[in-house]
Amino acid sequence: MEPPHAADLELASRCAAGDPAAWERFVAKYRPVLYRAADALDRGGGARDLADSLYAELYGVTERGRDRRSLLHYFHGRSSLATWLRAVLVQRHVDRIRTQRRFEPLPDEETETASAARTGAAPAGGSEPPDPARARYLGLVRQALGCAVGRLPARDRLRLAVYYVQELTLAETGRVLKEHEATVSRQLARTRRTIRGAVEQQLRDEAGLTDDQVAACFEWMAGDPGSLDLKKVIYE
Amino acid sequence: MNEVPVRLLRETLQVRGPAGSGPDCLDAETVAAWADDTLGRDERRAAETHAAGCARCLALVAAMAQTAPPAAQRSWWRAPAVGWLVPLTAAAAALLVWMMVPGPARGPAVTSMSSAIVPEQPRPSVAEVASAPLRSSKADAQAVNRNERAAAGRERAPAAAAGQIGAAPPVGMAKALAENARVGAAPSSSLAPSSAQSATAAAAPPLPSAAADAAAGGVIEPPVSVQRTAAAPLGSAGARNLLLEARRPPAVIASPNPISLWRILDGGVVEHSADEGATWEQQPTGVTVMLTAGASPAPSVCWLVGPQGIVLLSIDGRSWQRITFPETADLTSVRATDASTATVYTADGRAFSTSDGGRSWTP
Repeated sequence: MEPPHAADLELASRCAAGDPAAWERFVAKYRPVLYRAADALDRGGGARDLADSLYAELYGVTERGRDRRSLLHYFHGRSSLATWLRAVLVQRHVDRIRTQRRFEPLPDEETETASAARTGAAPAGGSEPPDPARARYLGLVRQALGCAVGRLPARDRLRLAVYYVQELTLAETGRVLKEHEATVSRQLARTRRTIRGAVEQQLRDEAGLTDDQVAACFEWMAGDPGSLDLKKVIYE
Repeated sequence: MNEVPVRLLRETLQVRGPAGSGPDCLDAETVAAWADDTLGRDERRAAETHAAGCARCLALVAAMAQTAPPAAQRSWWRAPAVGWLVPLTAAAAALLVWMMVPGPARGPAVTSMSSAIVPEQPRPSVAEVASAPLRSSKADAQAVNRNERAAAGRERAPAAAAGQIGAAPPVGMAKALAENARVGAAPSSSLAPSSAQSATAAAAPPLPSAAADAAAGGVIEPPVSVQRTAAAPLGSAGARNLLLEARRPPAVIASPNPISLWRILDGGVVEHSADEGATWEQQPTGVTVMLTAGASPAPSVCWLVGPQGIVLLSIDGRSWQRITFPETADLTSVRATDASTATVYTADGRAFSTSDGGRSWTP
């Protein structure tokens, strides 16, 4: 059976084999695709150099005594060539960002804030003394939350992570999950309710908190502008 | 608040992994196939499970979604929801011609048309034809429903959906006959009064399946849409617009705060919900055309775009101002970071950005 992207596959094969006419056609057709993707990744133009650097690999380099080896050899027509090129560029971009982050020191403020959140202490500059009860409650909620999220089906966890961690829009999240944005919104709300219920249940059943204490936990979480900064997250 | 604080949830979800890729990480081919929706079900499930727990692959699939080109504007006659009209109309026209033109086996013509529908002929009676839609309009509505979902980009099986719809023409054709009989659009002499009455009676009751779909919140194809389309010429802009508007689901625009939502309805109508969609309040926009997309970077800030270079901005969550845009191109999507900074995309793939609330735009 002919692969779904046979024309793309043929063009890629001819380019990989060194056909100049095919390469010309490839560049004319796919350079804008790569540049558009690069601009979407980094509005400041930082990903364009990655797109440019791909061309050498796509064209293929002849090494001493070896055959010409092009990146296009790895295209097997399972997607369109445009999507595959975008995936290669995205992969390079993400890996570069993650490598850079590995060598960047964490900002002091964030370290301090995270530390304060973990211990229950007020953030630096705050006048409130550390509250041992709050620290305990914070720890319990974090633990329960970790368990609740860990028990979610992978698809629900992926949806949450794409929306909250990667901060994609509903439409973009829907593109990842192949769902309509209204469905994404509904599913996110359902999952949040599930998590809330699971956390409350664990706080009651396993940590032995009363209803009032559970409510106090969440009030602290929501009302703590220093360590959690919820208002900033929601309203800015 | 009855949910988990967002910041806490975000921290919990934050996946920390190694900077490089692991042996199980998704390769470019798999990521591309995921984006094009060509992964098999098991492959897809495995990829989702991995990405849900791998920071690198999560970033990959997210970046793929962010870099995806805006959906191409398909010509209306190529839309799956409309494509089925071609065989439908052709079949309806053929049947009408067959009914109106006297044939050697049938008596003298139009005046005896009522006799031409008696059961002795192999052709079904009008009553039978009119009753058929009651059974199969459900199939019509379901098929169009599926088609609508496919057009929305959620299910990429337009060929299958079109195939299902393509199998339906006799049903729609019968519906067209029934409607023609009811509204008198068909030549009055071509149908006997009794036939017309039976057609009217058959077409009158609502279709339970369509109603059920509507109650479930799905996009349904109301029978009236089929009737209108069948009764109107294919090239009629009015019928076309009715059909397209009837099938267009409202676009929901969510702000970072999930309780604040906007939605776009027909005729430039915009509604806002401050309670996660439980109730909606209509907001005047000053435009009367259907807007195409929106982005809400904050609960009280929303950008909307539409055809002919329409850009609207609300910075208080209540009122809308029209932003001057340098071109009259149809705008298909918008991305915004705040009330000042936004990028809009035209139907032909160009992008225009502003960083001063729309006072100036840079291609």
